[in-house]
Amino acid sequence: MEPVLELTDVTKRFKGFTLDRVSFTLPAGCIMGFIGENGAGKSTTIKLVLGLLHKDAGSVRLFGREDYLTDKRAFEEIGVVLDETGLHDSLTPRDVNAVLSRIYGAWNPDRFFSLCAKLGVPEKKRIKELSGGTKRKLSIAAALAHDPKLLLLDEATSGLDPVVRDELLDLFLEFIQDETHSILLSSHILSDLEKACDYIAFLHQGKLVFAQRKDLLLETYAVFKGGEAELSKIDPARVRGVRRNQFGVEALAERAALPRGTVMDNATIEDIMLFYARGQQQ
Amino acid sequence: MKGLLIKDLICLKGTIKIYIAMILVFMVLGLVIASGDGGEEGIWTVLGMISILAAILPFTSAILDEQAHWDKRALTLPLRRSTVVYSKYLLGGILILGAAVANLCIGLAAGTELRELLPGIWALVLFSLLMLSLIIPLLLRFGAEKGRFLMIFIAALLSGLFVTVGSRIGIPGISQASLMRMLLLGSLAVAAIVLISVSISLRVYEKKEF
Repeated sequence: MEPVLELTDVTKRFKGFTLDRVSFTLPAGCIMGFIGENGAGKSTTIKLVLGLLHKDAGSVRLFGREDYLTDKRAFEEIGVVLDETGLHDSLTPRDVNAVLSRIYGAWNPDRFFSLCAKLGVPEKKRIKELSGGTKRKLSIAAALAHDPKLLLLDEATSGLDPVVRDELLDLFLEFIQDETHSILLSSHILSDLEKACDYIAFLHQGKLVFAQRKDLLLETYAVFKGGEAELSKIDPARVRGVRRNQFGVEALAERAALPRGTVMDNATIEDIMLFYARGQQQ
Repeated sequence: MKGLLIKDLICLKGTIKIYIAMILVFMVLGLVIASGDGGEEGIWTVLGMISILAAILPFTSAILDEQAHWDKRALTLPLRRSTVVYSKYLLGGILILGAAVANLCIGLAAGTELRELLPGIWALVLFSLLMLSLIIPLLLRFGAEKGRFLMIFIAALLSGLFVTVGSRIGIPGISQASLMRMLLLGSLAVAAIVLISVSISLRVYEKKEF
């Protein structure tokens, strides 16, 4: 399918941190979960896509265009939720509608207010009176009210209770029913990503470790449990990380590389992330 | 652009209400002073204060934007960086124009002659535009927190300059033609400063990261 977002060797250097040649492609009709430890570069990547930061090298193509930051018409097609609402405390959702309806050509007030009602965001309350979770819901309603094709969500479900997170995930899954819609969703809550995503991109210390189909990842890897002797029988090139503890050895390895009869568990996205990030250190 | 201006005006609603209350007090004071001895200077102090308040409002708006991290959101909208910059100048322009209209009404109510009032208000508009042109690039470069002190410094400096120049212009005997010539030259100079200020602001904001 036609890629919605394509990053090629995107690099950004800060003092003490480099986002190093990050490349991945988000196809249309998919949700990509963006995972990584704090400070891995997830928000930096999203900010580079949005032009909030200027990249030092590489290219970003949005809807097939590399010059999308120049005329910004492509921003009519994207909905963004960042860690902060970016809205003034004195505004009410009604004011937000008054402002954004004059900025987005395709803004739909009915959709905005129906999303607010669905998510329990009071129309007349000032933002400063809303809880953190309700502010986040307001941001999500605002991100969806102009019928975007791509949602860029940076920690959009963080800090929310499981019921609200589930509601939002349902909303995202509803959004993705249209095959031209896509989502890039960064989150620490890996269970949410496992539930909703088609692709997982994993950033570790500024480098992209992988960006793959979630099903393929879960099919490919398993968590081996055993002793050193059994571990030595597995091709080291097919082992992604090893953790040693007082009870033995755990390793993330390719399922196909494990000898028949080996004790193994299905790997979760969390296992994969932890073994990649920490397993090699032990 | 319209959306940005509406956002600014909604956010400034509270401050504008306070300023209008202050202007009403100034108006009463101005009228009282004007009716007393040496009232001429008193009314100009009031008009000057109104102009300064108008030029300061975009700064208040920038502080509110910074507190809300608005710029980060603005750049995720279908708005060019240049539009965000132009909107700050446009807001300043609208407020300065509003202050000029208020000044005209107050001046007329105080019984100041139109022949004297119009050049004075014109000079105040130029003064406010000059202040705006110096403040906005500094705001964009240093942010509202650091820019606060620079703004106070600029406001004090320009007010001093304006009072000095104003008192010279007001020397009895200066012809109306000379006054108009000075205002025209001043207008050209301020227009050039505004253009330079806009171009610096655009460059600063284009490079800015959020």
